[in-house]
Order: sequence, then structure tokens, then C-alpha cells
Amino acid sequence: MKIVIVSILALGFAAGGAVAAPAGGDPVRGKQLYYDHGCYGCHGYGGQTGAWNLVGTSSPIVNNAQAFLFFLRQRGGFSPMIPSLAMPRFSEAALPDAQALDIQAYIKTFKLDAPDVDSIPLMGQIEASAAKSYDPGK
Amino acid sequence: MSNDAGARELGRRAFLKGAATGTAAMATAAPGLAEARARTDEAAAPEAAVAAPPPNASQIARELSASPPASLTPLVTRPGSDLMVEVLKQMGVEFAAANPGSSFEALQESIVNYGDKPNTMPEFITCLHEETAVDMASGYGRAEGKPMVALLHGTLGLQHAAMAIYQAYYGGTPMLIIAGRDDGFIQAHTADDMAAMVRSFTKWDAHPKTLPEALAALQEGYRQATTAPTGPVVVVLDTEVQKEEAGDFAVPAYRPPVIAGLDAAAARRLAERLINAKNPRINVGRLRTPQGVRQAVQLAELIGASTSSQATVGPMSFPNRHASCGPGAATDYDFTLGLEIGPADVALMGPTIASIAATRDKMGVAFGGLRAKPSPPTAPLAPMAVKIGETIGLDAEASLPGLIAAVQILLTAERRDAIAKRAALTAAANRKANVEGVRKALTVKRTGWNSSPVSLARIYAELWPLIENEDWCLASPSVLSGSHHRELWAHNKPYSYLGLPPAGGIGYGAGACAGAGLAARERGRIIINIQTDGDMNYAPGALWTEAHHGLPVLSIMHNNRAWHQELMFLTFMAGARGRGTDRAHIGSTLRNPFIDYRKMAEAYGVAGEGPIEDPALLRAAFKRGIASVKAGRPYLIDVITQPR
Ligand code: HEC
Ligand SMILES: Cc1ncc(C[n+]2csc(CCOP(=O)(O)OP(=O)(O)O)c2C)c(N)n1
Ligand SMILES: [Mg+2]
Repeated sequence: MKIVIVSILALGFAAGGAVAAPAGGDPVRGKQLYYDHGCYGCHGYGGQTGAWNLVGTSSPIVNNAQAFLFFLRQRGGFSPMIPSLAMPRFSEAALPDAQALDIQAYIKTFKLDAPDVDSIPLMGQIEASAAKSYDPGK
Repeated sequence: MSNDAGARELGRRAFLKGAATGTAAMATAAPGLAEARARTDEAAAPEAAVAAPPPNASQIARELSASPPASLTPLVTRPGSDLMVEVLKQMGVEFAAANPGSSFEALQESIVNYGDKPNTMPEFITCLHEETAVDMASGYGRAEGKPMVALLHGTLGLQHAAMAIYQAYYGGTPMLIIAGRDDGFIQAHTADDMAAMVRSFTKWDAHPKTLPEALAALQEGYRQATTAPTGPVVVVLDTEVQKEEAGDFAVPAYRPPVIAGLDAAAARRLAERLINAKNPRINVGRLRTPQGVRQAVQLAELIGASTSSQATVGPMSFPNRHASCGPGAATDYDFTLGLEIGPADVALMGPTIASIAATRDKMGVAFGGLRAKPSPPTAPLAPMAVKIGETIGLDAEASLPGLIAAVQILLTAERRDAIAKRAALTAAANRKANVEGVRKALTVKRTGWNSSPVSLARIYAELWPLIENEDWCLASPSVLSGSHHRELWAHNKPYSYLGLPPAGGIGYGAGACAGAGLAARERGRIIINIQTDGDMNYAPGALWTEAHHGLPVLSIMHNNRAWHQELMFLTFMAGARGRGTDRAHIGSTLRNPFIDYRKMAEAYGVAGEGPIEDPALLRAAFKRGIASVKAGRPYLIDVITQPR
């Protein structure tokens, strides 16, 4: 479901992008706002942990200002039984456009903080361990 | 009890009450208490008084000063409580956890002093909060599939422990709760029907009036707790019974419960279906004890069935890296047997043996999730066939020995050969599935690998190679820290992972880990506790209990400096109302000031380090922690984490 919503939005804005994008925000201010409004709570301090990865995506929601604003505003979700499955709404009253765009500018600075699986020796160990069958006789 | 004995008993009680008043009268009343005493003396009503008088001066003096026990009876040479300890020994009760209270001072004295090896079986475990005592019994009960004792001081102790009892009830965790009752002492600490306060969420309770009844109640309580549906039971023990002279009364022998399983004919029919299946499967839920798990393994191996397990979500299920565990070479299972599988997962291609109770809501409170449901079909098996999709309302564990015996009789050399071939194919397919599953998981979990604060997946990943060859038990609920063990670790022991707080109550984790630590200490095992910060702060005194009793618990803080789940809820709520998403931290975060968990641990006598924010430092810290707990010293590592 969430994937569907995200991709519909993504397609719409990728194809159209009708209106001119508002000016870009300030990532330094954005860092504080990303914390204060609890974005870090579901996306991690660096956009890489939790409910949804924000790093290394070509999604217009991350990359296009209008798509981003639309995505923040147009949400329902009054009863978050399982909050990590969907995102809260951030209205203009709670998070004005300029501040939202500061956050977007900050999100764009995120970089993947992880080497390849094959270059992490620990991961090799974990894989090797998965190949071992347990013998209760031992 | 004969009439004669009854009369003696009544006389003695009256005597004890008099003695209590006498003792108290000698105690110097603290200033300001005289008035209270005058009030109660005035109101001093006969036994039948309805309103509970406030404690009088003498009672308070006894509670707050060094007065001797209310009913000092030096003539008693063989106190009833010694026999109670004898009964607990017989049943193999290893531990009695408690915060001390005079309503069980006699039993406590017997535990610590009675017998050839005093203070063993059970050993008295000192807790700083009753909730911890019962959560410890939960951790122990889930790890071992058997009860330990939690001792509670009257109405007060029961109420402090109530949520923990409630969770044990939801979890079906066997435990024997003993509530002390002292009718001659502070009235607010006693009740005519003490167990009533927790009756709607305990399986069984008793308030025996005599010593023989008390011993029988302890035995019956143990049987009730360990018979499906397992759960917490309460025995209320009067101080007078604890203190009474037992004379030459002999402790009755303990009879273990007889738990009904499949009868021989039904077992034979099921065995035939299993043996004749081309691609049989066994789906395993949670059995009662480690013995049940061993037998499930034996059955799967005999049949060459592929299996499924719930070991990554809770205890007493099938070893999940056993060669049989996984989808197998083909998923066209033509016969499936369920063992304690819940209604949602009941096999379509065969029956399920499950003791899961229709309802335990005997008081009609309708606790969410335990509301009365239609009874599962418990009819005896149809004479001719085993019905597909049917739930046989019997205990799976008790059914396994008969089923195994029936299978063994049917196994011909030819069949064994075919089974061995099938098992080899299953093993190869499952190994492949495991490796692929882990690789896929690692690809996702590596995001944020080098991030600071530390990613939760990194914590679980770093731990695995260090504990893989240890005898470990993950005793903390893991869902708030991402449950990354599910894919990355092998869950091959009945106690590999002890599961969530059964009713979702936070504050359970710290105590449950200490309780699992009791089982671990005796068995050369270590406890891994990924400890969320919110949970730690309800009853942090569990740390002291770990230090005091040398429990091998490695606590690794998932310190996100919040009741983070609630922070997310609040953000949602503010967002939905279109205001103040930047104020959702109010009342949902643990900031200003941050809590220093290393210092907290130090204050309670637990060695530790941190806060660690750099993931590169984790491995060395974990190694130090593991070395410490292997030497019997609990250890805490404060790690500042990503929130989720
Ligand atoms: C309660 C959890 C939660 C919070 C808080 C939250 N998000 Fe999200 N976010 C999600 C989830 C879940 C998704 C996946 C899409 C969906 O379900 O709507 C998502 C998706 C996104 C996406 C789309 C990424 C893509 O690939 O298209 C962006 C951008 C985003 N969030 C930014 C933010 C910002 C900015 C904030 C703070 C103002 C924030 N989020 C707060 C849960 C959250
Ligand atoms: C006894 C109790 N009180 C309150 C709650 C509500 N509650 C659910 S999750 C949660 C936060 C837990 O915080 P923590 O243990 O630090 O885990 P985190 O969500 O931060 O990972 C709370 C308070 C509860 N479930 N149980
Ligand atoms: Mg927390």
C-alpha cells in the first residue's frame, strides 16, 4: 500500500513537474528542524534507519520541492495504530513551506553510510554461520 | 482438621493476637503517634469490624522500629514454614524472589535457615520491587518452562506486582506466587480474600486454613501452574500457619500432574498419516518445556519432515537452524501436523494438536484478547480418519511420546531409507534458503552501518559472531530495538529468545532478564539484554539484584533517549490536528537531563561503560561485556542509538 502511494506520487511529479519549484532551503537550519519535528524518529538521524530509507533514492519526493511539500501536507492518518507503517501529516501551520524546504535541503545532503556487504568481514561471518545446520546431538 | 484441632487453632490465634498487642504496648510509641493510637483504641471493634482501622501506634512502631516479631513463639521446634520449604524442595523450586515483608517473615526465615543446605532450593533472591520479583519469575519460567516462586507481602506486594502477574497470565507463564497474610497486624496489609485482587488474571488460587492444607495447596498450585494452559497461580499463606508447630506431621509426597495427550489409537492413526505422506510437514508453535522441544525434534527426524518454527518470536519452539527447519525442497506438503499452533496458522493439510485455551477469562472481565471465544473442537478423534484442519484440543507435548512410539513401530527399513533421502534434500534446500535469507537481510540492514548514533542492526550484527559459540539467551523483548536477531542469529535452543512482554507492558524487560539470569547462572549460560531506556527506568533496581546474586546479564542499552514509540504517536496526533509537531517531544522523551546509565549501573554495583556513539567501538566493548558475564559479573554498556 505505502509503496503504491509513494510510487503514484513519484510518477505524477516525475512526469509533470508542472509548477515552478520554490527556491531551495538551507540545510543547516534544516538539520535542527529535521530533529525538532521528529523526522529523525522514523527515518533515523541520517535517513537510513527506521521506517523508510531517504538516502540514495531518485524519488521526486526527496528531490522535487513541490512533490515534497505535497507529500507532507496531503496525509490523513488520525489513528496511528502502527506508526512506523505510515507517516504523519505535517501541515503548513505546523511546518511552513520555507522550513519544510530547509528540511528537504538537509535530507538531500544524506549519504549512504555503509560499505558493500562483501567488504564487511562481519557480514561474511554471519553468512557463513547461516550455512551451518544445528545438530542437537552435539 | 478435627474439631479438637480446630478449637486449639482458634485458641492459639486468639493468644497470638493478645501477644501481639502486648508486645506492641511495650514498644515506645513515636511522638505524634499517640493520637492515632487513641483513635484506634477507641474504635477498637470486635473481629467483625467492617472498616479497616488505620494502623495503631504499636503496629506502626513494629513496622518502623526494632520490635520483635508480633508472634514470637519460642516453643515452636518444627515450624510449619520449614515444611513449606520441604515441599518447595520436593518440587524442585530453585528460587524464591521477594522484596521482604513481615507477612512471610516465617517462611523467609525457613528458606534462609532450614535444611542441610540452607538457602538452596529455593534460594532467596532479593528484589527491590515486587514487580521485579514477578518479572524475574516470568523470565525464568519462559526460559525453563517451569515455575519459580515470587513471595509477596499481602495486599501491598500483590498490588505492586499486579501488572507483572497480568503479563504472566497473558503469556501463560508458569509461576507460583505466594502472598503472605497477617491478620493480626496492620489491617491495610491484609484482606479476607487476598487473592481476589488478582483473581481475574491468575489461573488458580487458594487460601488454605491449616498447615496440611497449605502444603497440599503449594503442591496443587505447582501442578496447576505447569498443566496446560500454564500460568501464574497464587497461594495465600497466613503467618499463623507459617509459624505453627508442625509436630511430627509428615510432608506428603508430590505427585506431578497427569497431562492428557492423544490416546494410543489416535496416535497410531496420526503416525500412519505422517509415515505415508510423501512430503510431510510439522509446524511447531510454543511447547511447554525443553523436553517437548526435544521430542518435536525427534519426531521430525524420524519422519524426515520439514518443519516451521516460532523460535524467533518466543521460547520453546523448534530449533530454527535445524536441518529440517525451513520450506524444504518442495512446498507441496501433502500432510501437515500442527503442534501448539494458534488458530490463525492452523494447518490446512492436517490436524493441529493444541492445548491453547478457549478462554481463561473466568471472571468475565473481558480483557482485550482474552474475551470468551467459542471453544475449540475438543471432541475425540473421529474413529476412522484424522480430519484436515481440525484442532485437537489436547496438549501437544503430552501427545508426543505416544506419537513417537507409534511412528517407531511403523518404520520399516525401506521407509527409513526413503526418509533419509528426503531429509537430505530438505536439509540442502533449507541451508540454501537460510544463506539467501541472511544475505538479503544484510543488504537491507547495512544502511546506517557506520552511522553515529549507532544503528540497531549493527548492534545485533556485531554481537552474533561473539556469542555464536556461547550458550546464550536473548531475554529482552526485541521489537523496540528492531528484532534484527530474527534473520541474523540462529535460534536453536528452547530459550534462544524469550519473546515480547505478553501484554505489551513496558518495564518487564529489565526484570525478565534478571530472572532469565537466574536460570543462566546455574547452567553456564549468558543473558543478552538489549535494554530500551524507557523500560529500564520503571524498576532499575533489577541491576542491583543482578550484581548481588552474580547473574550473567549483559545489558546493552538501546538508549534513544525517549519513550520513542510514544514520541511517534504524539507526532502523529499533532500532525493529524495540523499543529505543533515540534512539541511532540513533551512528555515522550528522556532529555534535559539525559540519563547516565553507566553511572546508574555503577550505583547498583554493576560494572559498565559508555555512552558509546561510535559503532567502531562496539566490538571491543561487547567482548569486555561477554568476558565479564562469563565470569558471573553482570555488565552494562550504554549505547546511544538511532531511534529505530
Ligand atoms: C511516524 C513515522 C514518520 C515520521 C515522524 C516521518 N516520516 Fe517520512 N516516512 C515515513 C514512512 C513510513 C514513509 C514511507 C511512505 C509512506 O508510508 O507514506 C515515509 C516517507 C517519507 C518520504 C518519501 C521518501 C521517498 O522515497 O519517496 C520523505 C521525503 C519523508 N518521509 C520525509 C519526512 C520528513 C521531512 C519528516 C519530518 C517532517 C518525516 N518524513 C517524518 C514515516 C515517517
Ligand atoms: C506499563 C506501560 N506503560 C506505558 C506503556 C506505553 N508505552 C508503549 S511503548 C512505550 C515506550 C517505551 O520506551 P522504550 O522502552 O525506551 O522503547 P522505545 O520505544 O524508546 O524504543 C510506552 C511508554 C506501556 N506499554 N506499558
Ligand atoms: Mg527508548
